[in-house]
Amino acid sequence: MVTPRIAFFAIALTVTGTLSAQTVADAEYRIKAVFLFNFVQFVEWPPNAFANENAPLALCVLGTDPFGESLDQVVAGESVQNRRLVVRRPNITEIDDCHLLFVSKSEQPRLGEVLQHVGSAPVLTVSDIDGFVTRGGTIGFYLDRKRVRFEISPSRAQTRGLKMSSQLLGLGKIHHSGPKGGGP
Amino acid sequence: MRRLRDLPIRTKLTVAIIVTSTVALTLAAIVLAAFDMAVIRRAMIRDTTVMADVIARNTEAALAFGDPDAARKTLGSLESEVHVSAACLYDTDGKLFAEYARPDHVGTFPAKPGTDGHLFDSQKLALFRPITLNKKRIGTIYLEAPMKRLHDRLRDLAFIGMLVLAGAFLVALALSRRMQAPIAVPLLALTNTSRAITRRGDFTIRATRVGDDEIGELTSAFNQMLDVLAERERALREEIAERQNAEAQVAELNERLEARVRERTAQLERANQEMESFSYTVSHDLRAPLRAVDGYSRLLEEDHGHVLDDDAKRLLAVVRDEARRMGVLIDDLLAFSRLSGQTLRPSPLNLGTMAEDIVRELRRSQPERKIDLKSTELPPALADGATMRQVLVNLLSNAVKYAKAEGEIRIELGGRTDGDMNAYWVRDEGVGFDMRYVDKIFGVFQRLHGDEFEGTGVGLAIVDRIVAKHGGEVRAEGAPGKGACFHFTLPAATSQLLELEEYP
Repeated sequence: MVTPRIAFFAIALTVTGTLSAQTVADAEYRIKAVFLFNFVQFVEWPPNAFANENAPLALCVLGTDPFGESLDQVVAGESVQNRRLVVRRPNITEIDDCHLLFVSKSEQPRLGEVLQHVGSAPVLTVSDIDGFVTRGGTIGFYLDRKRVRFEISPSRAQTRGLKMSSQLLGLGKIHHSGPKGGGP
Repeated sequence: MRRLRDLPIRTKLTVAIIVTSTVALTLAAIVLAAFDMAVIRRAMIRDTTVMADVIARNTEAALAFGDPDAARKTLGSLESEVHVSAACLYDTDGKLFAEYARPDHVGTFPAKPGTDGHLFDSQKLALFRPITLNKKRIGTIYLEAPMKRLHDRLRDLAFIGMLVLAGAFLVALALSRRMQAPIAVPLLALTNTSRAITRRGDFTIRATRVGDDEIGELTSAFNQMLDVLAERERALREEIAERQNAEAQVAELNERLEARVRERTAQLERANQEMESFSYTVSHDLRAPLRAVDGYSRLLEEDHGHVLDDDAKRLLAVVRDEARRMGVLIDDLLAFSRLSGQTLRPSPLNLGTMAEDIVRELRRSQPERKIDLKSTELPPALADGATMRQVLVNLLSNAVKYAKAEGEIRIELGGRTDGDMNAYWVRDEGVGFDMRYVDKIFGVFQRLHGDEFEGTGVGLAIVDRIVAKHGGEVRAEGAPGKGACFHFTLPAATSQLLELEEYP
């Protein structure tokens, strides 16, 4: 069964620069929204990350939301590992029950504070802030010839008790960091 | 090429066995191959499906994140799998997303994903499987497996099948040689037996029965037929022998009969001869005393006539008369006797001329009577002149002798041709005779008339005898006072002979 969102995403991948800057930006965030949804599907959270068996899996956007409606549209009605997906937009103090935390570019100035706040909780941190993984994040978006790509730090995910699918690791650029390896 | 039915049974059996075993083996091989093919196809489907699912699982993320390079990399892992010649992925829109092909692969990928499932064609197995992520379909995987595996397997099977067939052929050939013996050998024996019987004609030869099968039955039937034949032949031989025996008996009987007839004939001839020589001797010997009686009677008359009275003279005349009559009788008897020993010399005769001649003599001896001979044209006869003259003399003199006392004596001589024989007759107008005595008229010493007519009773007997000797017959008819007619037949003479020997 082909869902409208996946179809949307597939079209978005082929979008070219002939469109307006705003449209291009919208397309980029629609792709990133789909990526966020995909990350959730290839990452396994430890049981203690959830309050109970029926607790939903929360995708949180911290700071100014660049997705608009697209993330809500992608996630709406979806569930992963029998957990409903919800989108939240908490402030810094409310991020404890987030499972995926997207840090908006607006939070760049206080990134250290945010990461510190997350600590070693089983939270998958994702952002398109430059050098996000180097600075302590787990997955960082970047653009390569107008294509959305991502960088992963598997060791950091492991530290947080997150199991990442090898397929996901195969798609992303691996950042060797954390306790076992030195940063770039 | 000879037809099957003309081939020897031996060959027929071999052909039958080999054809049967070959057909059975070929059928078995085909069934096994078909089964094997089905198994291999199922295995191919299963293997390819498993492979497709593994690849699908490993390309979920690549599809989800729209990363064809990663997908290609995953598909590239198929390089180690020789049974997959090509593979590709389609996204949810059915667009080709990533593809893989072995260097030796020919052909293109389907532009759109087909229905999920497998599809065989002559060259490959094509398989479409869904790719799902989190229970949602995110694409389709397409895998192509070449049929080489199946073809290789088929080729191997065919090769092995050929080997097995060749081996089976040899074994069948060897077996058939052994197995045909119980059928072919008794049949050959039967054939040889029948040939031997035909060649030697010996119905005592019997075929040896081998086994209780149809050939054994045939052998028994053949032997029974031979029994019947032999029995029939024996019966035939017996019949022939009996017939030959009977014929021999008949021949022997005939021989005996003929011998007896010859013996009897000889006896009869001898008796006849004796009889005739006896009568000749008697007649001849009677002459001497008769001559003495006559001679002495004459001497008595001449020398002593003057002393005898008239009565004695009359008695003496009677003695002399009787002696003379007896001499005539003896002469006739001698003539009659001689006839049997006489040889006939037949020649063509003119009986008419002969009769004229005789009548002339009769007129001379009896000038007091007028004798008229009326003769028609007579057919010439083939007969002995001397004896025929005797016949005519006797008949004509009889006509004169038995004529009525008064008047002219008229005699008619007639004749006509009647086939090979001529019929003649002498008719008179004399005293005739009674037809009651017709049987006696031709007998010796048989006389119908008393002393009124002189005669010895030998004349007609001589006529009968001469005519009989010529192969003819005599017959008489008449009535008292109305004359008589004597018929006789003689062989006819041809006219040419008549020209040559005219009676003088």
